Amino acid sequence: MPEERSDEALLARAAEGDEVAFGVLVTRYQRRVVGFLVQMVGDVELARDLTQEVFLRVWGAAASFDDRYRFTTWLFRIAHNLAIDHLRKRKLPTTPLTVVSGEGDEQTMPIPAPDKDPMGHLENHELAGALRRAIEGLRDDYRELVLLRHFALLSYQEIAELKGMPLGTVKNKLFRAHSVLREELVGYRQGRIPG
Amino acid sequence: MNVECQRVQELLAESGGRTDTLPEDAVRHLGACQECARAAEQERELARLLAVALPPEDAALTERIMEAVGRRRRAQRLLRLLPLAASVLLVLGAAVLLGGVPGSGLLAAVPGTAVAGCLGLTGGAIAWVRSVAVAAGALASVVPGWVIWGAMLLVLGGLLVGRRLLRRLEARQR
Repeated sequence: MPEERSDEALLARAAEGDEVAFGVLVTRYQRRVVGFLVQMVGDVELARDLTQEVFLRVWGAAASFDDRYRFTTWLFRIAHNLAIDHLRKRKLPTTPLTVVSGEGDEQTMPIPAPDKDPMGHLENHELAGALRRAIEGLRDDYRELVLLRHFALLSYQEIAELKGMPLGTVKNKLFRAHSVLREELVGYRQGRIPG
Repeated sequence: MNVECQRVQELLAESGGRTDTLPEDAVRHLGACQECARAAEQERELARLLAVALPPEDAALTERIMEAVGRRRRAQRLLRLLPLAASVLLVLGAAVLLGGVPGSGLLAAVPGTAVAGCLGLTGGAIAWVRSVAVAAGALASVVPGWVIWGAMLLVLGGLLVGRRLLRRLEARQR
């Protein structure tokens, strides 16, 4: 039977040391946190490690959760801050999307194996690569909102609360980000490699 | 793109191209505007791609997280007991330093046969504690008692402050 208690009720139980209640929260949100962090840091294994750290922090700070806020915005704020801290510390090395062959020709990098590729389980790896590059190519503020919307699966209202933005701004930015993504994918389908 | 097209396309971006959740006027607009109808189709395609881009459920990761939580919880319990354990040790230590050990007197009061083996085992330990107490007594005759008590209180205070700092550190990690 699916657990129907609210996130906040489960967290209150967890704050009293109820590991079962906390396990429900982990099961409920683990996939979204991993999905979000994979896109943030670009590495599946690292995203899993960071996800564990996110939930440990949630466990450690459960008693101090302010129930005027939503659990989801709190959770993804922790995940976001952790990813940013990690990227700052690591000075994330960037991988060029093209390589130069022995003959001096520029070639598109092959899409990595499914278990290392954030979107590797897509049936069409090339389309997955195009989508990934399109998201990577977005302006930082658009990209962040796209990740919160489509990988953290937050509602527009939750994103507005998390980012401290007016709802209208979130709508407008996501509309613009979607326009860019749609354009890139249409371009890709017409035979133009984005990026 | 006019204002109405933008409004409808914002709604489409939010609904993932679904039209059944749009207000009636937006649906009417879609029927009349080819550009927005095309945008709706593209939004559905984008939503489909983004949906399958999410990683699958990972039961092993959930298990790993819960094991880590269990370890953290046990560590927290120990941390909570630390000041209590330290206080008990300090009080015992102070008793040893200032008044000797009442061990043999207490043990002598315990009913005989059932604990005879236990008494035998503890006898050696008590002898050792006594020799420590003698040495400590010698120290106590040189160092005033209030200095020893003061040192004990300082250690205890340090432990309590340390624990509070640890809690603050945890809160800051949020």
